[in-house]
Amino acid sequence: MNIAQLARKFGQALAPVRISISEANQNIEELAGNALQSSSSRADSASRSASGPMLDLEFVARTDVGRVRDHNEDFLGHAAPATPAQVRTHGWLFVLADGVGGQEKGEVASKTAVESMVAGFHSTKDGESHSTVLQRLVQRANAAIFDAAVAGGRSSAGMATTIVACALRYDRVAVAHVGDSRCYLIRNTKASQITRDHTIASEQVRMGLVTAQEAAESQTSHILSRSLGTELVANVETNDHQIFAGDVLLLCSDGLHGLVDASEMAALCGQGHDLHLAAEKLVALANDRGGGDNISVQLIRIRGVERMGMYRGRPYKLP
Amino acid sequence: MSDLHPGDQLDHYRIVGLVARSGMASIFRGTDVRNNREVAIKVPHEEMEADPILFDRFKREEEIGKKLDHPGVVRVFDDEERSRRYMVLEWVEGRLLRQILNEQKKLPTERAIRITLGLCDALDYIHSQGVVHRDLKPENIMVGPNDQVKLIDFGIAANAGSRRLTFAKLTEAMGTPDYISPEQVKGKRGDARSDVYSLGIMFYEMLTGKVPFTGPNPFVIMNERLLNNPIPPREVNPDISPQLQEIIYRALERDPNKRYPNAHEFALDLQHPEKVGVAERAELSNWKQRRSPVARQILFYVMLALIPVLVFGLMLFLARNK
Repeated sequence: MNIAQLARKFGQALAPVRISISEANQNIEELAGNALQSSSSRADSASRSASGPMLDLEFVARTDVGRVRDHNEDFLGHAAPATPAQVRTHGWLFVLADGVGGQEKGEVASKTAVESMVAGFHSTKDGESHSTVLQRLVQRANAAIFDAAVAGGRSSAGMATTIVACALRYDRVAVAHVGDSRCYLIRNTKASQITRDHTIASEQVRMGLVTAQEAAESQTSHILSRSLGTELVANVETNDHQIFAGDVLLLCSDGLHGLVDASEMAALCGQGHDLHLAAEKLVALANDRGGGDNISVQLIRIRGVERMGMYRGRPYKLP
Repeated sequence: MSDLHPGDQLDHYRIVGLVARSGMASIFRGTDVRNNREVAIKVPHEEMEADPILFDRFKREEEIGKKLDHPGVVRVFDDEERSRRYMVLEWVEGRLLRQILNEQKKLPTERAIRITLGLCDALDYIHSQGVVHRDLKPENIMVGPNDQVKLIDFGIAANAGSRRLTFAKLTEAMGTPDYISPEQVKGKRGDARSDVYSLGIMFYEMLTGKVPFTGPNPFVIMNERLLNNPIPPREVNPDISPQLQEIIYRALERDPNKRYPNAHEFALDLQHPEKVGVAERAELSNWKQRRSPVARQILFYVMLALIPVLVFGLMLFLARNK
């Protein structure tokens, strides 16, 4: 392993980013004089305008190579609004990708996917629907991987990745995913999976061909029925959910959800728990149980939302 | 491998010519210069050697091959020092069952039974050695000039395990969709009875000229055997006796517990078809009913829509009969 890889791995593992807008909100004057960004903590003077509360969140990202693999094929990324106004026009994007494929090409695929999505998110139009944006960005990421695979020749053939991305604005979250990386919504001490895995076994469950019990023991639960980079056009699934203050969104790769139950996730990430600690504990728990795959988790806690109604495709502020 | 040509020497084998190339390996015909014995030499491709799953499979195939010694199974020569990784197999004269089926479609009943009996014998042997083939198909079977058969490929992955694969590699990981058993489709490992099922499909194909389950993609073909029954063999080919049809059905039972428990039982029935009792089978009458996941869903929503109608009807009925 070369130094650049090491640096990236540790960079990802050791420097989770925390963002707080509300703190910034309270300390605008102080912040105006300070640097707004640092490596480990970043504040955004978000709701400078006097138009009431805005979407406010904190998040942590953590990835670990696990106990068995010798390189990390997972990749995480996020796109934060650059200005307070962008919290409303663009919102936030969080992405997690888990590369597939031998010859260490899986990590190329996941990195390409995340970077393509993050770059694309910055250049979206103001106020564009997040479901549409995510659809388009995932397609773009797919094309980027496909191109890279074609350009890379034989050794890159067959590289692929799963992806799960969530975009937040006002009081909505749009979730797009391909493959078996999951998104959980933790609300009131209960974690519910809001993505459905794209694997052969879970497709069969959906068709009513096998029972959930059989699927859990199935040898096909690791064969992806959809993935990015294998075909020219990806089959993306997007969903839209309402979020409330206090909700936690959890994005994770199969290294985590294969070993840690939803109930355990909820217990660790519930109200009042420090996200840093929660992420660390989740990774440690997966490692204790074998750590057979790369473990990645991204936790996003919603601290406040801006209630919005839609009328004829335009957002209207609700009282 | 492109760097081996006729006339080249590989350790103490002289390459005579390229016989076949597959996704995983190239197979050459060669001669052992020490005793002039003809051999087949299987050389893995470079990409395959780099892929842990495929390479595992190659090693496993060699290990299994060395363990087995039966006229119905190709012999693998265990030897000495080698300058690179390759596998030396006994040279088998004959043609693939696949080629024969492609050319002739249907085989005469006697010949189909003869070939199937040979396969039963070979399967019985490998099962007694604790080996399950799991990917039995006409492509893996050589048929000699007197219809003696040989299993030539034991390549299915020992344990695809926790490594994730994309849909494109479905067949590679699970086996050929046309011949896979229902329990394997459901994600089970498969045992001797799974091989009996695959053999049953081949027997069906030899007698009727087509495989029982078809579909637009491998996933559909696999799932088809969980949902529907094949066209009765006698509908396709009336020359098949009812007893033979019953034997096919017994080999193709969806539930492995109802299937022939081993290849030996299958062979016994084939040798004495007159002793097979033919019972009335549900499959014979309901094979035209197609079940598909989509139809199920539609039915579900129709039933859902019917609920308010029923409730309203009930209310109306009660109101009138007060």
